[in-house]
Amino acid sequence: MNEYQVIFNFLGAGLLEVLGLIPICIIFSLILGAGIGIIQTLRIPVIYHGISCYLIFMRGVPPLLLLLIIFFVAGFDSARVSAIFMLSFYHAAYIAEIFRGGIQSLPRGQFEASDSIALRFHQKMTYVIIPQVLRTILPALTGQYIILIKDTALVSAIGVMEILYNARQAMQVVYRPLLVYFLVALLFYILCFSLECLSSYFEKRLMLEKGLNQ
Amino acid sequence: MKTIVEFDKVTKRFGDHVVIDSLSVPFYEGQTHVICGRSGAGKSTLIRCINRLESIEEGTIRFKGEAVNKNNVREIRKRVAMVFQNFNLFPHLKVIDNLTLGPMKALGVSRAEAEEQSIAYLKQVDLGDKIDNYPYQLSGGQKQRVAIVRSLMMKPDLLLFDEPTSALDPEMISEVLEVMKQLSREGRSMIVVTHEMGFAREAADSISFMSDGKLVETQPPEVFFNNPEQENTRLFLSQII
Repeated sequence: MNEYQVIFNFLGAGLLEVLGLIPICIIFSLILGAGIGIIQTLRIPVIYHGISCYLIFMRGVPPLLLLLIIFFVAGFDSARVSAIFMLSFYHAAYIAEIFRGGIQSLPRGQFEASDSIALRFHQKMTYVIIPQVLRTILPALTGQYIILIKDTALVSAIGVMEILYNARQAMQVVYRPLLVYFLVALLFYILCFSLECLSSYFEKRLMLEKGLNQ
Repeated sequence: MKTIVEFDKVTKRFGDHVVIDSLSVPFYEGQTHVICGRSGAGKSTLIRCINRLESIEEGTIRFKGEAVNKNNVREIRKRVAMVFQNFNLFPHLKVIDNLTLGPMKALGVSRAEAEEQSIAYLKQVDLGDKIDNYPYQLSGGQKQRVAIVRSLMMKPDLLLFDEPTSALDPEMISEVLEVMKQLSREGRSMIVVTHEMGFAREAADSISFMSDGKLVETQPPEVFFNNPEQENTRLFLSQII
């Protein structure tokens, strides 16, 4: 086996691992973040402060430390499950704030109009508020997910065989650090850039279809 | 005459500021009741209390004899529609979807029926060709007419208008007022907060002048404009006419 093939095999396997992780984390953190963001706008007395503690904790702790805490203290058997938990809960905290800000920046009239036609809370959110909020927060959301993609490199620390972990494995066999790390960087760049393209595609489609400028 | 809404010693405060001051007043079924007054008098707040967009501190508001409270607010809102100063159309939805959302989701009307009704109403207000447009493609006057149709779609017992022409360019005011006059002629129950005295003179069954959280004077239009009892009302009229 020549050395390029070794590098290719290792990095390919790492890429597949990451491609499995990212969608799961994006979906989990989106659902969790949207839910928390909506609940926070209601300012329910005890719950509001409880969730605030969670948000402050997540935003005040280095993600690597959080990962180690989840893996070694919470005691998940699988490094992969720990990684998914950490990435989802960590980024959900930021996404919750993005949603909360988005909801609160929507004109009050939209809430009042929904109330005046007797919509229930979940109908108001589903049909009126969230569709408008998604348009305005899409760029911020994309930014957050690009950070999430880059944070996957952290989970090599607990032995998840993602791109960076496998790159170091490859170097045990073929010592070509410049080439290997350049390829790792390229892979991450492609991942992030694809997400950005996807996001601007959605953004353009939404803007074309439905004018936001009231 | 049957009352549709009755205020019974209603007080509303924002902090220390008393917006509505122990107000008792009946509004009658089938009538167009115009409320005018200087800005900050509490006019908008008064009608927003009826469908509980604002809560009240003291007293009772009865809608058809039923006290409006936290628990029956949705039922009340199904029967009380509101038109806002800033239209508050849903910008991400087409005109038709703006109109069918309430009936379909809150009243359980079928899509076909709601769409048929929307189209009929839109034709009545001369907007039959705007069904598939988005709100940003409409002028202010057109938006407000769509908003009026949205309120009619709820088949309401009472229509509340919160300064419906205040955000419009002057040349668009009349097209909205025409629609409102038509509704008034149909004998709908309407409470209208407005500065349009021409509309009040022509369409109102009674007019109230509001000042400092109180209805100072309530009269039929001819008395209100020609021979008001209160000095405060006279002063106000001389300022705006």
